[in-house]
Amino acid sequence: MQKTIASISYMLAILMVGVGAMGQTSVRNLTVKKDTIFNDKPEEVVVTATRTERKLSNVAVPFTMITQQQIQAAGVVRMQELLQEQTGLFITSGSGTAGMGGGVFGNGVQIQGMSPDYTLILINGEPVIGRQGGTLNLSRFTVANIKKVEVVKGPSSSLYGSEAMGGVINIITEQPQQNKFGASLRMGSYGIVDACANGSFIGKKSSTHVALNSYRFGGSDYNNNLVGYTQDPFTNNTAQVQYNHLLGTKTKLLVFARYSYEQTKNLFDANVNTTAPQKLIDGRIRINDVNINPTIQHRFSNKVNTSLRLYGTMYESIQQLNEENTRNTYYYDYFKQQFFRIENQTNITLPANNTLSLGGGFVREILNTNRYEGERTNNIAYGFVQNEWQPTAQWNIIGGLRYDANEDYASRLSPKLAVRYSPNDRLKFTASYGAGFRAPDYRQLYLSLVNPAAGGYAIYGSNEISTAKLQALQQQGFISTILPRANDLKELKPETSNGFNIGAQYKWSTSTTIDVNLFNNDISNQIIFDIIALRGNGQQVYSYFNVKRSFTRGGELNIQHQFNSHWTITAGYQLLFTGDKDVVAAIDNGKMFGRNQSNNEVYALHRSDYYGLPNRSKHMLNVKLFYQHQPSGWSASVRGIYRSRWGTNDVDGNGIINRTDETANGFLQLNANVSKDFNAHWRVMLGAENLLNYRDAVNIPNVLGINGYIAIHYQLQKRK
Amino acid sequence: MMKQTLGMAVVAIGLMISTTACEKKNDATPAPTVTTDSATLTVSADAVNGSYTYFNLRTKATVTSAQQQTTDWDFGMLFTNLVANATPNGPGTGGVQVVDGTLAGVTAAPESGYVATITDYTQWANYNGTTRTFSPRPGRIIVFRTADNKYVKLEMLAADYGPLAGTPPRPTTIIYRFRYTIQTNGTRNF
Repeated sequence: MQKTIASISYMLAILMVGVGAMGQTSVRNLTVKKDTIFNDKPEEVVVTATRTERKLSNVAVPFTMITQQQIQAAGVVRMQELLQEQTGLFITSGSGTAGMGGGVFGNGVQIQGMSPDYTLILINGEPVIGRQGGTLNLSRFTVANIKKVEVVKGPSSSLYGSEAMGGVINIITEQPQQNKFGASLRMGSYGIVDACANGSFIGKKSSTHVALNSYRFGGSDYNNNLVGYTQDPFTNNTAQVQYNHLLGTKTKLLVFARYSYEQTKNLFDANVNTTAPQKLIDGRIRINDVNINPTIQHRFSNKVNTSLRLYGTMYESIQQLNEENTRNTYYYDYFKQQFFRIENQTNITLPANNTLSLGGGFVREILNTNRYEGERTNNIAYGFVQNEWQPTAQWNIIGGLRYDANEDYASRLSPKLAVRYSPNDRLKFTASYGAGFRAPDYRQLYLSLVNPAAGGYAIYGSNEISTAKLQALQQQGFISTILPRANDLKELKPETSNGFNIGAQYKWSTSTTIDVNLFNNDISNQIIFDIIALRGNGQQVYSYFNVKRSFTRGGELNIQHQFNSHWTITAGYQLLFTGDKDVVAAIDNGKMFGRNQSNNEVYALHRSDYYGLPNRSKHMLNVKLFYQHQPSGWSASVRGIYRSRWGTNDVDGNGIINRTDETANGFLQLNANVSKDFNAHWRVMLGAENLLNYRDAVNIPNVLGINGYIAIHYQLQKRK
Repeated sequence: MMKQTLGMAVVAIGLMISTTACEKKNDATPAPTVTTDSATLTVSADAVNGSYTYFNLRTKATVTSAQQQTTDWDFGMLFTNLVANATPNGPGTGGVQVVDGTLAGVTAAPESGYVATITDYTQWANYNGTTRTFSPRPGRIIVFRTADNKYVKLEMLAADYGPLAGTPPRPTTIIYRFRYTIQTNGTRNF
C-alpha cells in the first residue's frame, strides 16, 4: 500500500512538473521535433507502448516489433510459430496454474518468464477472450493479413488493465491503403495446408480490406503404440474485414470484424492407463470466435483528438466426445464467453510538449457453461490517465495511472512510470516501472465441481465455499477431515506484479545496433489451488488462495548487423532466473529437502539445486541469417532457436524442480527457407522447419518433427 | 546388517565416552538400545470399506485386527491414514507427529505434540493430481511414541500402488516402504 502511494505521488509530481513547465514554454516556444506519424522522415510508428502513435525510437519501455516483411521472410503461418522465433518469448504448452506438467490448453506464450496466464493478447488494441485453463491458444491466429505484431514486455496494466501482468502482444491487422488483390497457398508435411486471399478496395470516402484464411493441420503422432495423436488435427477458417469511412474532414469511422471457426478432432483410448480392454473415444471440439469493433475517431483540432471504441466479442467452445462402439456420450463440455466494452480515449497536446491521454470505459462479461450453475456476469468500470512530457528532444517522461473497479473481486490501481534519455542520435537509455494485475478467473471464483470420473475429488471457487459450508459438508458425511488451510479461505484478490526495466540501445553504425535490457518482476498474491479438506476415500477438496509469491529476473540482448545490401544477421539472447519466493525462503531455512536421484537418500536442498519455476529455460538464444538479392529476386533465411533445460514435473515429492529427471532436455530448432520473386506478381517459397528433427512427445508435443513446405504467392496491384 | 553393526559401534563408542566422563567403570558392555531397520507394509487402499493393518516395529510383523486392543502393535495404516496405539485406536499411551528433517538429522523426538491419528496425509506425502502419483515428501520424519512409551523415528521411502483395477486406475492396496530407528531405553534421544 505504501509502495502504491509512493508511486502515485511520484506520478503526480511528474504530471505537475510537466504542467508547471507549460507556462514557461509557451513563451520560449521550444522547437522540439513533433513526434507524430506525420513526421518527414519515415520511421516505424508504434501504438501499444503508450496507446498513442509514437516513433519506435521514442519508446521508453521494452518493446519488440515484428513487421510484415519479417513475417514473410520467416515464411511462418500461425502465430505461435512467429512468436517462438523472437527473443525472450517462450511458447509453452503448459499452463502456469493448471499443474506443473505439459498442458492440454494449447500454445501460450511467456514474456520475461511470466506465464501465459499473464500475457494479454490484443487484436487491434482490443482483448481476445477464450482462455482455457488460463492459456490463450495462439494457434487460433493466422499471421496472414497482419501488418505487424507489437510486443510490450513487462507489466502494463496502467494502460490495459487485467491480464497485462507480464506483457502485451498486440496483433495489428492490415489497413486498406491501395487497390490490390493477393492470394497464397502453402502446402507441407503433416497435412498442413494454408490458403489465403485478400483484397483492398479504395473508394472516394470509404475503403475496405477483406481477408480470408483457411488452415488445416493433419495431426502428428509420435507414439504408434498409443491410439490417437500427439497433437490433434484441426482446421481453422478465419474471415476478417476492415471498413474505413470518412465522415467529413475531421471524423473517421473504422469498423473491424473478424470471424473464426475452428474444429479439432479427438481420438483416444479411455482405458489406456489400465489393464481393462481398449475403450475408444472419439469426438470433436468446435470453436466459434467473433470480434466486432467499430470506432469513431474525431479530431477537434491539431491538439485534441478523441476516439470512441465499441467492442463486442464472443468465444464459444463445444466439445462432444462419444464412445466409439455404443455412440453414447462420454463427455460433453459447453463454454460460451461474451465480452462487451465501450471506451473513450482523448489525447490532448498541451504546451511544453506534454501529451495528456485520458480515458475510461465499461466492460460487461457474460459466461454460460455447463461447468457451473446458471449464467455468470461481471461488470468492470475503469479510468486511466497518462501524461507524456518531452522537455527536450533528448528526454521523454511518461507517467500513468489506471483504476479498475470490479463487481466480484477487489478493485485495483495500477501505476506506471517510464523515462527515455537519448544523449545523441546513436544512444538511448530507458528505465521504467510498471504495475500489472490479473483478475481471478471464473473457475477460481465460481467453480463447483465434484468429479466422479476421477475418483470424486472436488474443487470449489472461492465464492462457492466457506468454513461454514465445509462444516456442513462434514456433517453430511461428504468430507472427513477439514485441514488447517481452510481457515485461510477468503475473498480472492487479483494477482499482481511489479516490474522494473533498465535498458540501453546503441547504434554502433548505420549497419549495427545493440540493444540491452535488464528486468526484474515481483509477482505476488498468486492464486494457487490447495487442499482444504479430505474426503473419507482420501480424495481431496480444493479451493483457491492468494498465497504464492514469485520472481522472474534476467536480461535480454539483441544484436542486429547488416553485412552488405544482401546479408543481415540478428541474434537475441535471454538469461532468466525464476523462483517461488517461499521455496527460496524454505531452502534458506533448511526446511526444503530432496531425494537424491541415484541413491534415494534425503538431503537438505541448496539454492543451486533449485531449478526455479517450471517451464522456464535459463538460456534462450536465437540467431537468424537473412539473404536478399533484389535484382534476381532470390532471398533466403536460416534461423536457429535454442532453449536450455527446463523444469517439467516433480518426481521426488517435494513439489519443486530439483533433479535432472524433473526437467526436459534443451534443444535447438533450425528452420530455413529460400524464395524467388519471378516478377511483380509471383513468388515461390520452399522451406523446411526443424531440420534437426528434434522431437520430445512428452514435453514439447507442440513442436513438429522435420517438415517441409512449398508456398506460392500471387499479388495483383492496381496503381491509381 | 552393516548399518546395524555400525549403529552398535556408534552406540558403543558413545557409551565408552559417557562412561569415561562419569569415571565409572562397568565391565559388561550393555546391550544397544538404538536400532535402525527398514520394512515394507502392504495396506488396504480402500479407506471406506477396508480395515487397518497394524504393525510391530520390533518383531517386524503385522498384527491381526483381533489384537487391536493389545499393546502388541506400534502403529497402524489404512490407505493414507496413520494411527498410533493410543485411545481410541488401542489401549496404549502412544502418539504420532510429523517433523522436518532427515532421518539422521532428527536426533531427539519432540517432548509433546503427539496425536492418536493423522488423516491429513499432506503432512508427510504429496498427491500430484496431474500425474496421479502419491509420493512421500522428502524431509518429513514421522515420530511415534509406542504403546509402551518408546520413541521411533520413521522415514517413508516410497508408496507403491498395488494391482490396478477398474476405470479410472484405482489401487486396491498401497505398499509402503520405510526405514526407522527405535530407541528402547525410554529416552527421546536417538
